[in-house]
Amino acid sequence: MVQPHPSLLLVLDIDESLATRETRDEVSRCYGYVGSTVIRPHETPEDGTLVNTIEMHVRLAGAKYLREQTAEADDLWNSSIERWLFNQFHTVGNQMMIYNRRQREEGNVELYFDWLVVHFEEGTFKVHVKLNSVSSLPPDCSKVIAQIRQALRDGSIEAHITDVYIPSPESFTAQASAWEEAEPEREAARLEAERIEAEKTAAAEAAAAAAAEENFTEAPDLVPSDEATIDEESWQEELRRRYQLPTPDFEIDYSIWGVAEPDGAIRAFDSDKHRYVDAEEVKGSFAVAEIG
Amino acid sequence: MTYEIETAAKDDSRIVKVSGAARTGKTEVLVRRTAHLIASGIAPESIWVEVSSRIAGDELRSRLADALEESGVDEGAAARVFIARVADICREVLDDERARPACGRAPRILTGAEYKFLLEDLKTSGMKNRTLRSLLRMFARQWASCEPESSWLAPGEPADIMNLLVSKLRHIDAMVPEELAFRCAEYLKGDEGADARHRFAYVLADDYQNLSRAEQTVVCYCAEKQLVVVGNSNQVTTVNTDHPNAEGFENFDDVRHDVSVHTLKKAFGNGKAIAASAELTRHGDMNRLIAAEIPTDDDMGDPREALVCVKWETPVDEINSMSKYIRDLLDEHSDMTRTYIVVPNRAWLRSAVDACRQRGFKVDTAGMSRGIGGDPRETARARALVAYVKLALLADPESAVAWRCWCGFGNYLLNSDAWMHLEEYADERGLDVVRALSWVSDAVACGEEPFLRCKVLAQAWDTGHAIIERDAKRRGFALMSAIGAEKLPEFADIERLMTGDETAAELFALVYRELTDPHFSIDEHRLRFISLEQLCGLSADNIIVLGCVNGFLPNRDAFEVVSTDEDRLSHMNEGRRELASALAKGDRRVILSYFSKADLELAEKTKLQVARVRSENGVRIALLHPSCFIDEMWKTNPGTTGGQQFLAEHGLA
Repeated sequence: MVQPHPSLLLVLDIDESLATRETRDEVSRCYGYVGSTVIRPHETPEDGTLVNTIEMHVRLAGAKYLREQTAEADDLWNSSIERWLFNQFHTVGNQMMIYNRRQREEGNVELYFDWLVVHFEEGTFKVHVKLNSVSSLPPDCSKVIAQIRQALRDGSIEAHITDVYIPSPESFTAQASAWEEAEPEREAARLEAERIEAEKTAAAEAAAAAAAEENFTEAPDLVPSDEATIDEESWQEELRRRYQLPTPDFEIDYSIWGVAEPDGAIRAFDSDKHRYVDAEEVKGSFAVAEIG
Repeated sequence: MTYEIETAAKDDSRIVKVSGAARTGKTEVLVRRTAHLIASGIAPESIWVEVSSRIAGDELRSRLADALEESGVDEGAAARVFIARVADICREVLDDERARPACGRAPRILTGAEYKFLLEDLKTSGMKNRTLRSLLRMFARQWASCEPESSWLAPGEPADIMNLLVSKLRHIDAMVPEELAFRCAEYLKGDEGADARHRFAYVLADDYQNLSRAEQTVVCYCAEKQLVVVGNSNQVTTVNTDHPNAEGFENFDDVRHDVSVHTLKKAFGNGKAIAASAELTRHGDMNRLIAAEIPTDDDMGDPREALVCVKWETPVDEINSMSKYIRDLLDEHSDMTRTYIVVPNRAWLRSAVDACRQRGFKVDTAGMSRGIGGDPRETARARALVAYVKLALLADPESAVAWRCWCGFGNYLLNSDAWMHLEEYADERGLDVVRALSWVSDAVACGEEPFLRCKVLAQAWDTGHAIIERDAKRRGFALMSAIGAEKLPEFADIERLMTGDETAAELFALVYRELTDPHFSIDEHRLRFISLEQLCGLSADNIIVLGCVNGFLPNRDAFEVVSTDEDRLSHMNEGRRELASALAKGDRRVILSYFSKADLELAEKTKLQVARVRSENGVRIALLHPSCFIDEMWKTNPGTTGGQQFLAEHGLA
């Protein structure tokens, strides 16, 4: 049986200082192909920090598929919604990066989002996905949401819960701190790698020069570079540089979720252990995977 | 010997480059350097002097022997110096058992006639002839450039044809001439070829500008202690490759460290002819900066004869009268080895040779690139080719090349379809094609038909083996008779070189060598005929150039409207360079002979550039112009003498 296909409404909840006429026009132009897009400005916080959120409203004509323990709900989720989520995360994530790249090229204001909030079943349940440093997310977050759905259905997450954060704010803070603390090590490793590469290059050049000397062939340092090849290579490099999408500082570990109580308190839930965990367990339970 | 030449000859720098205009003594530097090395105690076998041809090599060896004698060194050492072309070294390198696995094939280079069979086999790809030839030309160009195949061999048709070409060559265990230097260079560059490098302590390369980039690379890899290159980019000519890398010589010292450079300024020889040669370098794409001090003392004979242009009415006039003149010129000279008759093509060669023979000359035509022609589709018109292939079979009954040719005679497609099936049959059974042929013959004898048209191949196998059984033990002239080569003009020079006791293998080696790299016999009493490009590396007393008309010099492609401007210019420049080089070589006498009209049919057939057509006594006559290069020499051109006046001046009218 052909399953219904969800539709998407995007709400860009951005700081009022960013919600200019130009931004609205640009967002309308760029995000229009992704889905219906609305800009909802909010007041700038007193401390002046900009916090932007992008909301993905999953519209499916009132269908219930999260907590329902029916075969139809399972079928709808497995054959349609999960895959659709994967595709939308890919599209929206890519779009956010492309939008900002273009804005940079044009010298215009970029839009960075901190959270992507997925609204399910008319907004009765929301999953808050933390976005990475380039304002994107891996499409595989759809699998994490599938795990949340499973936790809802087997009761690991209580029925009254309406908001889950992935990862929990505490977990993300710990990951970010760990990443920053590891910066000197990374820098040292980078310098070491550069040194080794430079040594290798120098050794290769010396070997090539020695071979040329021994074999009476052309010395590499004297052979004029082929201008046509250089131009071609420069142009290719320029294209690569221009159109390459940025990579985030580190891959976020989504295994520790933040389950929000109605009173605002957030409890940590370890998806690997399939239970709630305390703060100490949160700190020691992840590893930051460095990008690049 | 000038101070310049002596200095260059004694230069012990690791890398030496010697440049200079024509006749400034570049080859003399190599001769003197080699003599100096031998006199210093260097083993002659550790020296390779690279030459363009065996003809040039023979002359250089003779000059070396004289130089050694002058130095008081045993002139026999000259015979032990390795004087050879790059192609000879490449074959030696790749023939080694360590190189075979890397290359996958033996360096058995196909001759022009054998190549026809390969071409027919490549047509089984279904590709249009024109496209196929275009791709093969592209391969040749890229191999000459020594760029790795991975960088230029595009997927699709080019890669498919390359794979087919390599497959066909692998089956017959052979190579095409154009890939030899490339395969050798690739081998030497790689780790497998490390031990094959530096085969000679000293490498001295003549006319470095005429080598392709691949050949230049091979030369470099062969040297151990010293590399000396001599050349002149204004003398670049296509001798052994269609893609000489003149830039490789021009920029030689720019892309290497610590190159000792010598520039020779003083020219020797025929002042008038050298001046004319220098005048030509002011035209076209030649480098005007490469100039020499023209010799002024004309103590080399009659200055009136130093450079002469003679005009005849018709080709018959020219050939008859010039042969008369040559007879008179050389009557008092028993040694004719310093006289060269330059002819534009083989058609002119035949007429000129006939005329000279009638004047009592014995001739030597080694200087004209020859081949064994004939259409293998009709054996009656390919007697020389059939004789050659028979000899190849007798020389080596396991030769896949010989069997491929033998199996192709008498069929419109040279049985390429049957041969293709034979290759598949051989591959399926893990056999080589010769073994597979034997199996097929046995199968057919038993009434089987392993594949379509196998009977044709079986029959060829049987007749081939019958010949082998009958004639394998014959030698010398009896062998020549048995293969049907007796009295064939293509084998005339071979008969002259034979001792009469050669086995089939020895005779085939002689024939193959003469086909791929001919040389003049040592007989001083033979008149030598040569082409312009084969004059490379030689010097002479008398250079007589026949047929100096547009269409021959430069060739008609320099004028044809069907070509592009670039093509026409290229042909024009090539002809100019060849003539400029040739002019400078006649130490005593340079004669440029031309005619003003010819029968139209002859003119069309021989591709003369027809200026006008008119009717004479009901016969259509083509009016011709003398070579445009004669006009370009106008400052030094002594003017043209009419033929009859020329004969009268020599008392021959």
